[in-house]
Amino acid sequence: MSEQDIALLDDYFNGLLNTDAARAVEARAASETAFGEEFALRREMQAFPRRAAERAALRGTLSTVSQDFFQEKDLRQSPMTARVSRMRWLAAAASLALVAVAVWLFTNTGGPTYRQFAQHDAPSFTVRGVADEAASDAEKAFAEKNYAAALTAIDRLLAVQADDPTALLYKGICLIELDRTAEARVLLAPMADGNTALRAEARWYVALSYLKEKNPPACRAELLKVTAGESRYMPAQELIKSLRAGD
Amino acid sequence: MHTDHRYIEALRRNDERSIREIYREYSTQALRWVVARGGTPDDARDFFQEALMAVFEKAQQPDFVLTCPLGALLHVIYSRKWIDSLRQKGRDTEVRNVEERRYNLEVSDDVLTVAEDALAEQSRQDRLARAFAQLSDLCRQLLTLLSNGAAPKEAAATLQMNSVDTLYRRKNACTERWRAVFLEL
Repeated sequence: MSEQDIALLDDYFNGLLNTDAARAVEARAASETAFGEEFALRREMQAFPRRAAERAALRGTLSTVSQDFFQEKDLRQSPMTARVSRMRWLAAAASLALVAVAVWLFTNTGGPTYRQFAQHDAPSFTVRGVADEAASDAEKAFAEKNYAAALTAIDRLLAVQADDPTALLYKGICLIELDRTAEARVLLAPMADGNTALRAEARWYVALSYLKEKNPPACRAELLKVTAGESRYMPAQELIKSLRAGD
Repeated sequence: MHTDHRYIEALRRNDERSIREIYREYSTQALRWVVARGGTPDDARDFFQEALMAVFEKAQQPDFVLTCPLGALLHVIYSRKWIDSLRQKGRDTEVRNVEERRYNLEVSDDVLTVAEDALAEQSRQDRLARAFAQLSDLCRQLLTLLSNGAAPKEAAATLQMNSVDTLYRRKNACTERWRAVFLEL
């Protein structure tokens, strides 16, 4: 980098060039690699102190938020503050615990079954006012595996708060349990393709609905949508392996 | 654009509510991953936070659009940071190589590319920060004032300089010093 170019960049970043001269510098930066790299570095340096403040602010937020997470209790599967996380991770742990059983059963029965992998965590609905009784009824019926009664109670809950994602998810689970798998998928598919916190759960249950229908290709296709980092990734991988072994 | 791009916007805006959602969604997996490999919950917290900071650095590129799941991206970044930390401690080369291969296989090329870019950008910003810290108080004050949008005349007055020309000369000298230290690191 010549001293002349350094001076030119100084003038550019000090705002001392007229419009034409500034555009000429930008054009050179776009066409000449070395000059372009120097230009990019100077631009980063120009923005760095301002961004340092933004960076420090974000770091402060992360430090604050992280105090509510990464607790020992999260490892022990004890109740979590976050209802969604609790449900998802408990379910994931339960699924993982089933892997050995599932593998054993597969080797003895010829392939994975819905029942081997369908371990539902107890729901905990967030309710507003009059939905309280419906939520309580739904939780009780679900715990008793009375899915027809649970479905009725969840429908009452949804009549009051139609957009409750947990209620929608559990309605889907009830429908699968009641062999109304196609209806379940109609309900779960938008969640599975959306961006809610329950996306991985919905994908998992769409996959299980196909497993219940004994449709391994469709089940596998859904499982492949569960990506690394999502809560159901590991059980999904185990089920894929079991399906592969059953081919 | 992946639906998780909303989290990129959240990091750009420092939106605590959405950031909390990121933690709810992905922190337990990070916790389990790190603890399963001999780390502590505090280690997991640190690596996860640094992974988010790396994503933030990448997100500083105005045209950056997330095209992969955030969870997968974070997983690759904190995994790599964890393995790098083991490497620095000289622990069990073979095991960490196996781990590296494993997580590389689990994700798509797109995720790996974004993760590499984010880590490179974080490293570059770290070098810039370390070089900046070696400048004089006056240089840091001057560059910070101008970066934050202070008018040159106002900055010159704040720094008790006689003229804007003096301010520019000092700024150019500070920038050159900063650049030289950065390139040496």
